[in-house]
Amino acid sequence: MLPEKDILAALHATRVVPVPVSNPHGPLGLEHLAACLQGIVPAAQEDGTHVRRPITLPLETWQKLIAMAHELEERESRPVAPSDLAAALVVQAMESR
Amino acid sequence: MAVDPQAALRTSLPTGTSLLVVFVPSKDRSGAPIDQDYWVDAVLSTLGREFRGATAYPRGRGVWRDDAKGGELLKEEPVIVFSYAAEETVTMDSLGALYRVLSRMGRETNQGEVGVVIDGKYYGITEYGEG
Repeated sequence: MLPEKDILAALHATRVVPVPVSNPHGPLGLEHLAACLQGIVPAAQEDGTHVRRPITLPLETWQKLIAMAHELEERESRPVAPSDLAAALVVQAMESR
Repeated sequence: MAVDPQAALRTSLPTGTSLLVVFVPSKDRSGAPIDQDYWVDAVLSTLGREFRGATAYPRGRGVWRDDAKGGELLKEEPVIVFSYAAEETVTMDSLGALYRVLSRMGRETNQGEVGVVIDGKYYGITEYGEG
């Protein structure tokens, strides 16, 4: 297997990010991979009006976000990522100021 | 008793196999739809030619309400294209061919970034050369 630096060079890649799903199996594995990439790949909506910034959260807060996202997914029958939920809560909080 | 599903089902990748995954977007960075079928075919052809095979896996159609945009419904339906490649086929030349199609896709469909996952690492591409 080519070393990472050679792959970077061949692809003219500007960054490399380890993905937590290293060996996805079947459709569910690919869905898992896709979900993990949501936090890595810039969203199509990034058009100069949105920014993406890494932030640090207490573990307990993140776990609550995961639980809330699961609840929303079940209630609204659509995928909800904890990170998207966190962003929506921050936007909502700032709009009320 | 603990059971290792991969061992029980023998689902591990064959030794010497690399997994390459490309996500073909459904719209450009401003939200306008792109000719996704064309780009799925282009990526499939490149992966098939360079790595001897590839599969396109359309994900379930999705929609979500963006409350920050007044409840606008945004749809994102990327197609996952993947290839299990023999390690000896993952060369500078074959990756160069992959770069050329991804670069063209990024440039012609106005993407902020395109990328490929190779064996658990995401390689992001933002420089779209002529190849």
